[in-house]
Amino acid sequence: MTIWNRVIATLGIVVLFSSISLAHPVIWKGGSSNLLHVDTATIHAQSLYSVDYDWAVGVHHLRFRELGLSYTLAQSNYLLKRWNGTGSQGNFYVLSGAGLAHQDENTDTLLHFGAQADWETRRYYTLFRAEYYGLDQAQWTLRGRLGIAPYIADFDGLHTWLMLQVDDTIVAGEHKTTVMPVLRVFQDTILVEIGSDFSGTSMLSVMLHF
Amino acid sequence: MKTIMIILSIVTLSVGSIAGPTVTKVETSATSNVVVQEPDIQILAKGIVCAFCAQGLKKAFQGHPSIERLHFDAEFNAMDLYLKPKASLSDTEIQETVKNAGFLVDKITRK
Repeated sequence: MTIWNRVIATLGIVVLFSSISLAHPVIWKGGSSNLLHVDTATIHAQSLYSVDYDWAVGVHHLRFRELGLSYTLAQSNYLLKRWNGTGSQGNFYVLSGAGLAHQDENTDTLLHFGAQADWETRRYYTLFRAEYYGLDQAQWTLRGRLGIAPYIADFDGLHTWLMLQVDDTIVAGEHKTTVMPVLRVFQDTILVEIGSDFSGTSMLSVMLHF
Repeated sequence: MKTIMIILSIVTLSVGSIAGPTVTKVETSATSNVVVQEPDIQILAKGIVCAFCAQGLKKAFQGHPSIERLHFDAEFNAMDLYLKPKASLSDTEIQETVKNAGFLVDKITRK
C-alpha cells in the first residue's frame, strides 16, 4: 500500500494541509514568519522568509502523530496582485512547493500548487484558498474564511477576530467538509488561533513574525 | 487537546479583559497641561488594515537612525514620524520603506 493510500485508509479523508498560512503567505521584505500548528491529527511547523514584499520562500514539515508519517516541503509563495485601498487591502497569491513524504522505509515525492485570494478591512475579513497536493493520488483542498472583529483596537493593542472556517477536501471524487469557528487573537508580532468543530476536531496555532 | 483548548480560552479571555480594546486618549491643549507635539512628518498610507501584518513597517521606521519615535492613528491611515534633532528623512526613503512593507504612500506632509 502506498503512503497516500495508507493515510486515507487510516484517517479517512481528512483536511490535511489546512493551515499552511494563518495570515498572509508573504510578509514584509526581510521578515520571517514562523508557525506551529497542532490539531487532532497533525503537528505542523513552518518557517517562511520574505525575500521581498511580494515573494517568500521557506520550508514546512507536517507529521501525522499516530501514523509515523511525515511530509517535508520547500515552499515558494508569490504575491501576484495587491489592492491597497484606504482602509482596505486585497491580495492574490500563488503558492507552490515540492518535497518528500516519509513513512517507515517508503519515500515519495510530493508536489503542491495553490492560489489564495483575500480581502480585509479593520472590521471584516474574507479569504478563499484552493490547493492541490499530488502524491500518487491528487488531493484538492478548498478553504473559505469569514471573519469579524468585535472591536477595533489600536495599533499596539490586542486584536481579536471571530472567524468561521469552511474546508472541503476532495480525494478521488469524495468530499469531506468541515465547518469550524475560530478565535484569532494577536498583538505585536504574535498571533494565536484556536478552533473546534465540536465533534472531535480541534486546533491550536501560534505564529510569530520577526 | 481539550485541556489545551480550555486553558487557552481562559488565558485569552483573561488577557482580553485586561488589555481589552485600547482606547485612544485625546488630549486637548485647552483643558490640560499636556503639550501635544506636532509630528515632523505625517504619512498617509493605503492598505494598512492589519497591525500584525504592518509590524514590518513599524520595525523599519523604528530602526531608522533618523527616527526618534512613530505613532499610528486609530484608523491606521496616518503615521506620525518624530525625527531626532537635526535628522532628516527623504520622501524617497519613506516611499521605499512603505513599499517594502507592502503598502502604498498616499501623501507625505512635513511640519
